[in-house]
Amino acid sequence: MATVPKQIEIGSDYKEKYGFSVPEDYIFKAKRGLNPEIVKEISWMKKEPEWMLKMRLRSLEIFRKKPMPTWGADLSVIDFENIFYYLKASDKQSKTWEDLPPDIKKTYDRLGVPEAERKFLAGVSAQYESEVVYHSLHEELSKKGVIFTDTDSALRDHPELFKEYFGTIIPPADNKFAALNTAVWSGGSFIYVPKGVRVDIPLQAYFRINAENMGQFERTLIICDEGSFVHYIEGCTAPIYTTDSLHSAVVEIIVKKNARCRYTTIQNWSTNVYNLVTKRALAYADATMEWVDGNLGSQITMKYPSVYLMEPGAKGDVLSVAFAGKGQHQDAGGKMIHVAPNTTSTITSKSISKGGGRTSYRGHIKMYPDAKNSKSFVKCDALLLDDQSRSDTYPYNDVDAENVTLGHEATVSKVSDEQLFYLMSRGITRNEAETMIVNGFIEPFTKELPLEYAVELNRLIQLEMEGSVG
Amino acid sequence: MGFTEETLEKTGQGEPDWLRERRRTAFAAYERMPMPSRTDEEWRRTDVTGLDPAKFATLEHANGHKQETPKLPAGVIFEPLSLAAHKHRQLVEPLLFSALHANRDRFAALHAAFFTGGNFLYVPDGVVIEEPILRQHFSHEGGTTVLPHTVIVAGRNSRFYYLDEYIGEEEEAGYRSGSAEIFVGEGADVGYVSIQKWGRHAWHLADQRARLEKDSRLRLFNITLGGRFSKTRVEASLVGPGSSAELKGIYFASGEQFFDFHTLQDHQVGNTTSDLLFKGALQDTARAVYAGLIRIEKGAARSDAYQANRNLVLSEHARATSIPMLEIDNNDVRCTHGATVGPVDPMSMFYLQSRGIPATTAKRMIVQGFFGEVLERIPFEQARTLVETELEARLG
Amino acid sequence: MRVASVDEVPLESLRAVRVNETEICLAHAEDGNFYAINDVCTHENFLLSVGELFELQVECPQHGSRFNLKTGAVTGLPAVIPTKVYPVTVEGNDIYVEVPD
Repeated sequence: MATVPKQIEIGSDYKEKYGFSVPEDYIFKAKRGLNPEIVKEISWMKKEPEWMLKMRLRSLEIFRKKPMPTWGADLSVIDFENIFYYLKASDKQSKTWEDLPPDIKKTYDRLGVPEAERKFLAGVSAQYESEVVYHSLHEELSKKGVIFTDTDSALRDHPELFKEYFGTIIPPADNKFAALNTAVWSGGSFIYVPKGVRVDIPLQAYFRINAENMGQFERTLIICDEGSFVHYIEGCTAPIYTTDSLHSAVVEIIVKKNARCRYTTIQNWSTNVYNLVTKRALAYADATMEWVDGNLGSQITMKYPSVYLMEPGAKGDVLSVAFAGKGQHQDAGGKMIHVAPNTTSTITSKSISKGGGRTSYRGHIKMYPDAKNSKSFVKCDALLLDDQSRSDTYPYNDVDAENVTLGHEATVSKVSDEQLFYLMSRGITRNEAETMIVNGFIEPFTKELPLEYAVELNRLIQLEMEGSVG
Repeated sequence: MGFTEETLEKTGQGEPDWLRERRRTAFAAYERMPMPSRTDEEWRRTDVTGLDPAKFATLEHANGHKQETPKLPAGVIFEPLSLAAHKHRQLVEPLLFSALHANRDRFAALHAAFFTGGNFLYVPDGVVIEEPILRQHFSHEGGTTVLPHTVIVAGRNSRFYYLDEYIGEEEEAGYRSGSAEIFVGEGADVGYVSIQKWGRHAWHLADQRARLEKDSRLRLFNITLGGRFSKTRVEASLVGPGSSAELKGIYFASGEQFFDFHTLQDHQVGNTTSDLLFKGALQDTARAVYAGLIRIEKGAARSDAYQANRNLVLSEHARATSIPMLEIDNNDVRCTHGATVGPVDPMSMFYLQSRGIPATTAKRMIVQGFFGEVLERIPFEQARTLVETELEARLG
Repeated sequence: MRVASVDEVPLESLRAVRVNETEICLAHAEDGNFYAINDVCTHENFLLSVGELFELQVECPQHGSRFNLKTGAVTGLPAVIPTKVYPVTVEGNDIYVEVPD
């Protein structure tokens, strides 16, 4: 007996699959709220150098001074004083899963992370609340000089490399949430890939929030030296609570001459998480930076990964997929800043709104006067699955350079009647046909994912299966 | 000195009390509101720090110019606004500044307080005027302010064409507007063309706004050529089902000209259509900013909206910004938009030159070709010819 | 052109001054020297003179871009375009900035 899909539903099994929580049994839990004492406490717990503490305190001041953004999603509902800014669940970082506290191990087992590591990853970082609790990297990669560690360890173990780049690409004053992150950051990944080294198997970081009203503020810094390659994947989930949590990350990336970096995100926070993230990469001569950004979860996401094309031949790509269901607002997009001649960029955005959800594409293409002979192309498509949902497109295009070509195209539509009619005329039910059309719509995204993730994503964007139909 | 109450009272002299009162309210708004700053989203790329309207507080009365007008059918009213305000209060009072609001910003308030010249056109139900109505507005000297205002009311099933031409040849700076409110009644069909050719040192800030009732049609063409600084908002509200707005723009900026366009396709009800295309060519160090929005309201099912901005960059130092935006609150719609910024296609240049056509001629032909698709849509010949002539003169 | 007196610009402070039409950020840096840099941030046109000094760099208050006071080079994003620097001379209590045409 065949089963037929009833309706398209992302995350219909979220509660069971990701939305669980385990008891809190923590080494350290800071008091609720944000103040200089909490910031000092975080820095003290981490035994940081003085310069970092100073930077944190100054960033807190900047955060206080900066107004909330007046554009994008409605953030007025966030109560910053109700958040826990630092939670430490384990007293040490483990090198084996067995070493982890039982509840944490159980969590990752249930999420399937150890299994994924065995099958197809070259390194794994698992962040639980504020700290990275598990870490691994294939030995051959460490022998080649690849550094893949948590950002706190990097500050201790690679202080010079760290200080050279930290906060130079996204300074605390860049925006309110970059300031917040710099004030209270904890965890995240630090990656250095030496000249000419290719990391052919992906590295993955897995971010997990467990506690209620948690704030997670990881900080990631990736340096791809000349001619190197790395593919970094991050995933994130959290339990479903009735009160809000906050995730505000900062990701800084440097891609040197001839290097290539691909950064894939599958953001699947529970729908009580505010996800406000700043991501920026610098691409030098003939380097390539690719952001593959999937936003499925969270209540509100505001995230616009950017690439600064700093030297001739640099290339930037953003491939963005957003899904907004009931109560969700995905405000996502990308930015391409062309600084040098002969640089190229593309942004492809696919968004789906359903059940009153709202997706907004927000993008910026800037061609500075030196960016002669550069090209940029942006394509945004939005699909509205019902009459309750909404879609916006806000593309900003500034061209100050000669002989450049810039194109932007967007369409907003419902599932087309012609396509539906065609499929249904071949004996396919309406719901199956809609599903096929949606899957086809996001295929440019799924085909860029490693196979295992594509399977996972198809499962996420699954259909709520109805019982058999006789 | 600046704009004073005395100037205001003088401007409104002889006008009915209700209108004078409106001018006073608008003037209060002007005095109250700050200049837009570069932190306001609409003005981020549009720098007015060098503009102090008070420096141009002498009003030029552009009322006097006699225009040849076709013989108009019975019932048609075509008069200076200040006169119409007296004679046809029941028509003018509810509509004047009902589509454009004085308190939108400081410049809109200035315009509403001090507008002079400009006309009121009322075409009754069922009346068709074949011959276009042409109107010229002049500025004669620098240092002055010229603020014409047009109100057009199209009765049910009426049909006609209208042209506003703004002309200035002075070499000094001045402050200029040239706004229009267009009310398109049920089933009416209106063609409206405006050609802005103020002097090359003028500050021009104007609003054109139309309201379309059931089954009506508007074809609005905005041609912008003059001014040192020109900012125009072109907006259409589709409030009746079956209405359709075609909004087209042509701009050619050279020297140090700066042009800004804000457009709005406001689909308030369903079964409405809008089609917008703004095409511009930029030469020397000219700069253009286009920002447009398609808004589809929740109930506006079966709407069809198109929006495109195309920029042809002819020189090394010209700059273009294009921000085409969509806000779609209904799924049963078809919305497409696009923006391009690019140079003259080298293949086309190569092709023309290989046929023995000199580079400058080839370039001119390409620019003419670029504007062609908008030119040929201009709904009446007089306007089309006028625009073609103006473009040719500027392309040299 | 004289833009300020030495007492008006204490050590490690910034001051907005003008030479004709040019807006200038005058800095009294920690090395004791005076520097003049174009006041308009090349990123989004905010004024540097209301920002902060970090050694020989000025930081834009709006988005945190940094510029080297001696060279005008960008030392921190999001700005990417260097800014102009102008020669400064101090004679007695008077500070002079020279803006070439």
